[in-house]
Amino acid sequence: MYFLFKQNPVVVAGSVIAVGSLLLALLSRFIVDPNLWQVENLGQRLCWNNPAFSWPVSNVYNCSGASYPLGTDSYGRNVLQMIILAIPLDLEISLTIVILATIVGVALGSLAAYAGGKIDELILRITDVFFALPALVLAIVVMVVLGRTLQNLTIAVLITWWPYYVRLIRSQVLSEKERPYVEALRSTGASPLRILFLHILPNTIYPVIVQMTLDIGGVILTFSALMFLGFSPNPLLPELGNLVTDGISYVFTAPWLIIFPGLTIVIIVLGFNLLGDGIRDILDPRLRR
Amino acid sequence: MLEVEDLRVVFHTYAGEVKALDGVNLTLNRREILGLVGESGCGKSVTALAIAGLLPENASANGQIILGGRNLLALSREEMRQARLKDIAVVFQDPTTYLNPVFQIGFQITEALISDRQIYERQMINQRLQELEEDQRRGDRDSQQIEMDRAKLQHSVESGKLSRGEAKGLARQIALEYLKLVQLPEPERIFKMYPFELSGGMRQRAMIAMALVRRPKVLLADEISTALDVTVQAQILALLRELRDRIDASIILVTHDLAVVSEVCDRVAVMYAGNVVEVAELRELFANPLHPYTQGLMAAVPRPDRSSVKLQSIKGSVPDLIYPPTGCRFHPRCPKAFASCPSTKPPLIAVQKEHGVECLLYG
Amino acid sequence: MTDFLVETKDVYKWFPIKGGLLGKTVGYVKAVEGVSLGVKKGETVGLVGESGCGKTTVARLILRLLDTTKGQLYFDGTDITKLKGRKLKPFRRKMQIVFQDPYASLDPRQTVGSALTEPMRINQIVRTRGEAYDEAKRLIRVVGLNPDHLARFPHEFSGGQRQRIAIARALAVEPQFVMLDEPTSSLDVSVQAQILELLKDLQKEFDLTYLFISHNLSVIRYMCRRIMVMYLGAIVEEADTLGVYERPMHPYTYALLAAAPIPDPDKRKGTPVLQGDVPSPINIPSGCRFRTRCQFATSLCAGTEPELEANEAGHLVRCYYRIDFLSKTVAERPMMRHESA
Repeated sequence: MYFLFKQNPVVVAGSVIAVGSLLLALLSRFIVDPNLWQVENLGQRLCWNNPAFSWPVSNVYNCSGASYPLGTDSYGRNVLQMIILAIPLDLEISLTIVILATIVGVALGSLAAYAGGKIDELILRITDVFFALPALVLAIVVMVVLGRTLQNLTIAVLITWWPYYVRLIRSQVLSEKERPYVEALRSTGASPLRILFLHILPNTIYPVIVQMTLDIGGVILTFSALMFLGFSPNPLLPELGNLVTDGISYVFTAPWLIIFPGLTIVIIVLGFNLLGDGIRDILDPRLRR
Repeated sequence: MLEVEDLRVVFHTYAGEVKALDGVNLTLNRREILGLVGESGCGKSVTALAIAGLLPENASANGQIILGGRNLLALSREEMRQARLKDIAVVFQDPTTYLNPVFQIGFQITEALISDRQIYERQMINQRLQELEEDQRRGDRDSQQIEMDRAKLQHSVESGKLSRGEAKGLARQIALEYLKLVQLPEPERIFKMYPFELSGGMRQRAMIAMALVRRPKVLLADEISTALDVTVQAQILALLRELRDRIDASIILVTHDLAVVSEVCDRVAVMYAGNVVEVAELRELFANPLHPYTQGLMAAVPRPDRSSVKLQSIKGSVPDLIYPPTGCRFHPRCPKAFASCPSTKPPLIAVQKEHGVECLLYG
Repeated sequence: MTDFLVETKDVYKWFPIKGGLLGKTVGYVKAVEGVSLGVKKGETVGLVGESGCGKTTVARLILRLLDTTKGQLYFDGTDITKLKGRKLKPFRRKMQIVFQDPYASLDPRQTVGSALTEPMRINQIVRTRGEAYDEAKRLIRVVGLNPDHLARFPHEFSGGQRQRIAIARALAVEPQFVMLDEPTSSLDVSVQAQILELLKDLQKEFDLTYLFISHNLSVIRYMCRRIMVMYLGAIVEEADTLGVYERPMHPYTYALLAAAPIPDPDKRKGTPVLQGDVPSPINIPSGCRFRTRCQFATSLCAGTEPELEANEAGHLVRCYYRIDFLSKTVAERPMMRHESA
């Protein structure tokens, strides 16, 4: 399998980016003081002093003093430092949501698949209701009801995300349940729980992992969008979407404000997407055998 | 009719080079049913695919497959596609996966005829004229009707080309003829049905009709009865026997089942690990199997008509074709192997007229 | 009757077909209808039939992998029809199954050793992990493989070897009864011979009782002493091997034998006896279920379905007539027991 991995440049690129961003997230507190985002430096707002590039925009304010490789934002903070602080935050929220969604998905999905009948119907209908509601609208409603905190933001996105996992895992378990080796296990007297956790779930894990990897990017985009729409708990919060929101008003005077955080979002999401796609590609021909 | 000479096929896979065919030699005569029999991994399906030009991307084929004077392996992709349209037809094992579920049976059968009209026009018209003649001779239909049909056709011939509508109509008539030929009841109804509405046996017949409608010279049937119940299989095999007399094609029947071979084939080629190890006329093969593998195979098959005392199995298992045995590929499992076997690959030795063996015991 | 190790009494299995918006039951797949069979200790009984005949469902019912719609199941005299959970567990280990598909019957993520030791642990046959492993080593040798295969995964083995592993797994719980559901149908002929011989040896060595299910008449003839022919969910004929193969009584049995090809060029078949397709268990014909395809059917056959009755000692058939298939003459059988009922 490693052979295939190396052969696929897409996966390699994706995993480099993904692993890179995770590493950066872990090490960020050693690179940048985690409290820096609260420090405003209004004397150096919206300036750029990186000699490597000059913006084809009029009135670029030149910073004085320290060097700001990616310029400063509207609070005078170093954009590069903010991005480095934002990456762990985004990834942490995203991973939390994805992992929690998977757990809920496994619990409800397996229950539905194994119990069948009315319980299955009930879970399916509930899931359908959530599917029918547009995700962003639902998240907005939750935010309005619960209030603007980071925790509630996580809850809001989680609520819109779990149905996918329930469906996915339910269908995986359903099909795996009928395989002969499960029947063989039942005939040796294995209990349903044993079969589910020791046998069925390990065998169905791959599509779920792929989905999780792909969703990391998707979740980041979703709550970035929410922040953009005004549900950010704190405008200073070092979160990629927040930074972009900040920069929208200055698109023509300080384009680096949107470009760099935006680019970071794109790269991270792309990285995880490529990773997920690549994993799927690697696994697919193997399964086809 | 069809000559396969020294066919070698290698699959390039991640795990290694699979030497699937190691110099296969076959002759297919006109209007005969040749059985290609062997166990899994012997290369019988690969041989059929090679002849049909349907090998996957990672396969490389060497040698000669001569049909109508041309070496099929030397043709370009497009030329091979044309050859497949006109001369070679394949019927596969599982009609469910090889029939498109969203199109009617009739549509699928006529599809090839209509889409490549230039190739088929002349053929279709001639075919139809021939069939009309036959109908007249057999007194099947009202002769006035026949005359009308014939006049219509003549008109199309004179006007130079068939319109799409005419082609469709013609193709439909031909398709119905063939649906009747494969003994499907109520061909008009079946024409409009979808694959899921038919049973397994009927689907298989439809696939055979689809293959024959193009009047191929060679029909490759790859395990066509394996997935069927025994009573349905009996019907399909009887159908094949009848068809052989009525159509002008040669059939290669690929199977692992010696009993099927015995029911239907004129000549048999036994394959093992990428080689044809024995080839003979049917009766001769069963009466006098020469190759140790053939003998082992026959001793391992239980029969429904007598009680066997003990089944003899062949020791060992099918070899890994990435690292095949040297010399004769059967020697590790052969009860009669001797000193030269691991080092010398046996050539095809003609023990009698029409009975060849690739075994050092005989030459 | 108690010398049957496994017995079914008048077992039915109907699968409901749901349709419409509210999921109402619109029909039934009548997979098994009124099957009463018994397997004596040490016997090998064959269950033969084509697709849709219900033989696989019968296997699942006997093993309690499915619940019956009606009827009783007995193991060694005990009624196990309604047992569940912990009460069923001790019976579960006495009945094991070997499936047709050696690729799908093993968990691909489990090593062979683990696949063998797990049933032992579930049923508390062994005390320690070491004991389990020793047992696994013994079992793997018994089926003709060697102990260093225990660390490998199923996909590293050939079909025949996987089937051996499946057999070893079935033996791991020391069963008395093994259900063999088409165990060699997906194997090559030469491998099939090895596995069949292995099964015969194991039967002698471990005093096993077999129910052998197959559509392959040659294999059934080779392995079984007593045979039951199923059609559309019911047993239509039951007799010992020679009785079924040399003196078949039911027209369907005769048709099966007439259709089974023989590897002998001198014994080619003529026109197939049975035309048309195997019907679906959703619409079973009234009266005798075979009458729609039977060349000897009469109006009597369209009335009530005949019972499975003994025509001679030990040879049961579900048909109103005594038929000589060679001359195609039919004699009406004297009506038997059900008249007086």
